[in-house]
This record gives sequence, C-alpha cells and structure tokens, in this order.
Amino acid sequence: MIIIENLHKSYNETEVLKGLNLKVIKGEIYGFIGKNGAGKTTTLNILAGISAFNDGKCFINSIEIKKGSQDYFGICGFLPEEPKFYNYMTGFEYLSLMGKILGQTKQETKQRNEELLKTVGLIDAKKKKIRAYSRGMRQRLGLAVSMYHKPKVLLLDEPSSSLDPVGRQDMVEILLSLKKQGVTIMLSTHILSDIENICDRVGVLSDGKMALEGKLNDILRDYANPGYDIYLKEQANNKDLEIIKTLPFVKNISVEEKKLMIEAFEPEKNINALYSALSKFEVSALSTSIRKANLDEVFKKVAKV
Amino acid sequence: MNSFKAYLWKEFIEAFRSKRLIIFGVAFLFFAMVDPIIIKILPEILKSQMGNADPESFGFSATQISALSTYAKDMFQTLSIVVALTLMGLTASEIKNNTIILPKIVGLKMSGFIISKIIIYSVFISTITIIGFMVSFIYSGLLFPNSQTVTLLNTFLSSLLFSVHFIYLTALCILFGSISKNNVLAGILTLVTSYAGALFPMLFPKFKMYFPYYIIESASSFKPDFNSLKSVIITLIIVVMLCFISINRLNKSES
Repeated sequence: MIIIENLHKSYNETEVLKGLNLKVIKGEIYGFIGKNGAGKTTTLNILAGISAFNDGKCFINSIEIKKGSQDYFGICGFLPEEPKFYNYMTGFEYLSLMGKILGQTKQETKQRNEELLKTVGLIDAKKKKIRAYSRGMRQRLGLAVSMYHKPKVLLLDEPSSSLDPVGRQDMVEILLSLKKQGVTIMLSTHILSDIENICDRVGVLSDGKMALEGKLNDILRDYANPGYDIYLKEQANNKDLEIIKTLPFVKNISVEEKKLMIEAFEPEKNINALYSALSKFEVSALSTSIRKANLDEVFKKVAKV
Repeated sequence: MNSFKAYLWKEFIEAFRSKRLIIFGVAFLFFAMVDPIIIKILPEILKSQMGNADPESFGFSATQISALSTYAKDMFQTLSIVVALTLMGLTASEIKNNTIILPKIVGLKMSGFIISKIIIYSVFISTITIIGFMVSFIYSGLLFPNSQTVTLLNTFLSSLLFSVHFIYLTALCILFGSISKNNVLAGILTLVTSYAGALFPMLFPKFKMYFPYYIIESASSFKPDFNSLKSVIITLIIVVMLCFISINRLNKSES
C-alpha cells in the first residue's frame, strides 16, 4: 500500500508538488496521469527514495520514507522513465549484478536471470551488450530489473512509452500477472488506453495536486461522456426528442443539425432499448454509433489541458 | 558486504572494458621506457647545441639515477594528469548518467559502491606503478651499466610511495565527483589539490612530513626515510576520510 500525505516538493523556487495526497490500495494497479510537468515523475522519484521532498509524509507498506534514510531501498521496484545501464555489460551480466547486490548464489542468479529475461522477451538478446539494445529493449530490461528482488510494490514511470504495440501488449500481460501475485502497482503513463485496460483506480494530477482520484469505472461514468451519436435524415423534432428523454439511461441530449449526441449510462448494455426508441421516431435514423467513455475526455477536462 | 562484492566485480569488468587499464599501462610504460632514452641521448643533443661543451660541467649527468629521477618527475607531473583525467568520471559519471539509480533501488549501499572503486583502482594503479618503476630501473640499468647508484629495493620503495600518492588522487577524484557531479570539474579539482599540495611543505618546512606531498619528495630521492612512513600514514588516513565524506555525500544527495 502507498500513502502520500500533503506532499510538497520544490526545485529551486518552483513548487512542483503543492500538497499532494494519494492512496494506492494493496494489490491494485493505480494509474497516475497528468499533463507534462504536473509532477508525476517527481512523485514516483520521491516514492522510490531517489528524490528528497520538502514537506509531507510518504509511506510504502507502512514504512515511512524519510529524507536521507536508506531503510526502504529494496522494498519497492522502480522503473524510471529512461532507465540507464552500464552499456559495456550484457543484459545477463547486468541482471547478475543485481543478483550479487542481493547476495544470491550463482545458481539462484542464473535461474532468476533466465526467468526474468524470458518474461520480458529478452532471452535471445541476453548475450548482447546493452549498448546495442534498442529503446524498447532497454525498457524491457528496466522492467526486469525492477522486478528482480520480487518487490511487493512496483513504481513504473512510463513503462510502455518506448514499446511497439506487441511490446505494450506484453507489458500489460506482465502487469496483470503481477497483480494476480498480489503486487501493488503504481504506474504513470500518457497512453490512456493502457490505463483503461488494466488500472483499478486512477489519479489525475494537475498543478501539483490531485485533481481527481477514484475507481476507473466511477470516473468514466461521472466525468466522461459515453453515449450515442445518431445521424438522422432530417433534424429531429420535439416529439422524437421526448421519446429519447424518457429513456431512463439517458443523461443528456444535444442536437447539432441532423446529429443527435446523447449522453447515456452503459451505452453498450442499453443499445437495444435505444433501437426500440428510434423505431418510434418520425424522422429516420441513418446511422447509430456508440461513443465509449474514455479517459481522454476526463484528462482534458480535469488536467486542464 | 554484498554491495561491496558486487561492485568489486563490476569495477573489475569496467576497468578492462572501458580501456582504463590500457591507458594506464601504455602511459606508465611509455614514460618508463622513454625517460631513460631521453637521458641517454640528451648529452649528445646538448653537446651539439653548445659547441661540444661537456654537459657535466653544468651539472647534468647521464646516469641511472637521473633517468629514474626524470621518471619520478613525470610520475608526479604528467602521469598524475593521466590518472586524474582517466578516473575523473568514477563517481561523477555514475551520478550524472543516473546509472546508480537502478542498483540503489535494488539495495546497493553507497559504502560498498565507494570502497569497491578505491580498492580496485588502488590495486591496479599500484601494480602498474610498481611495474613501471621496475621496467624503468631495468632499462636504465641496461642503458647506464656503469652508474648504478640506485638499489632495486629503494626503487621498489619509491614505487610504493608513488602508489600511495595515486591512491590519494583516486580518492580525490571520487570525492570531487560525488560533490560536483561533473567529470571535468572533478578531474581539475583533483589536479589542483595535488599540485597545490606541493606548497604546504614549502610554507611549513618543519611539518613537511605530515603532508601528502612529502611522499613525492621522498620517493623522488630514491632514499625513503622514516619520515616518509609518517606521510604515508597521514595520506592513508586522509584517503579513508575522503571515502567517508564521499559515502556520506552520496547517501544524502538526490540522484
């Protein structure tokens, strides 16, 4: 579990975090979003223990992160936005270095290295020097390192940013499998579809503070505008609009010439009821499409983009 | 202890793969071989430039000891630059390039990080310094067979004293790198400190054996005395203090 209370952080005279509060529940995947410069990387760096902070409190699994203390290193795993390695080493050697830091035997290290390299899809590149790795391969190696010591908490800063679609899918599967093992994951990303696919809860950071936090479904329901887009043969008349307004799942209707934009709860579930209502229209409908709730809208609204 | 052992292995690999050892080997052996040759041919050059005057008449002597003294001078003046510039990135690079972050997260202790660097490079530089002096001793002995006024033992002791000096330089590179996080600045500050250290024995001649620079004076004479042991002990205490300060600095700094 991760708890942040009233966190303040300044760089020189610029305050980046202005009293941030957030909570990540044990075993969940928490998506952390915000526009560039909002303070996401700063927050993760503070939680990872590599950046100091000016005021506030941070806890990881009930252990307080104190300025200058080293006690919490080894508790969480961390993947920075651009992980840096010793380029003269191979991927296998770099993981072996981690094994040595942890005091593992040679056999344990070899086993753990092979397991992790297979998991992140780098087993064929294990003997290649890291300087020859692509950005995506470095990201995968970074993920392997962050998981090396089997941490119960994982902090990931833009884990999918350098990955191709296949790599992103692999990343999603890895994170879901870690969640099943009880790992608490906090990830920041600009790829909102990844958040929608895997996150349980979301926090939107804006101007150094939490602007919005909650369960993904609740946020999408309350802040996004899922519904329907209906194109009619002619502009709808009031009688037709009344038919739509009486539907219990309809929140709001707006008309733009021949287009009806309907905000509705669970549009996929209620599509048949909508079709039934449209069949009573005086004006014919040319096409109907479901507008899915997405974080894009929430992000633009809440993060003040 | 795990951090120390892990980084001892890492520094060993890095020293080879980053070509640092090759640079040391080439530089130290180059001067070990070239300085005796220069001393050998210098009288002929001087004679030709000064109308066949005898170089010995103005204090120049082409002997084994002058060859070794020249090598000792190059050790302090030139090879110190090689060492400082080669090792200037020992800590500065790791901090600037953020290569220290992932190991730190896994559990790397800064004490193991720093001590492994000082140990590995102390061993490598000491070995190369001793080899350099032995090569210079043997080669100058061959070039000046009738002038052996330096014993092998004294040459070996001088090489050990220079090794201590280079260990001191390594510790300075590590400290300045951890403070400045800038390779070039770390290298420059190391050299300035080393060369400026030559002033203290001049300003406080009664206490000169308590300054690191006395090691250089003593080593260059090829007759190390008991006072040089005092200077060695003080220097090694300074090295330990520099390491502690570096560890403390890295524990507190933001990566």
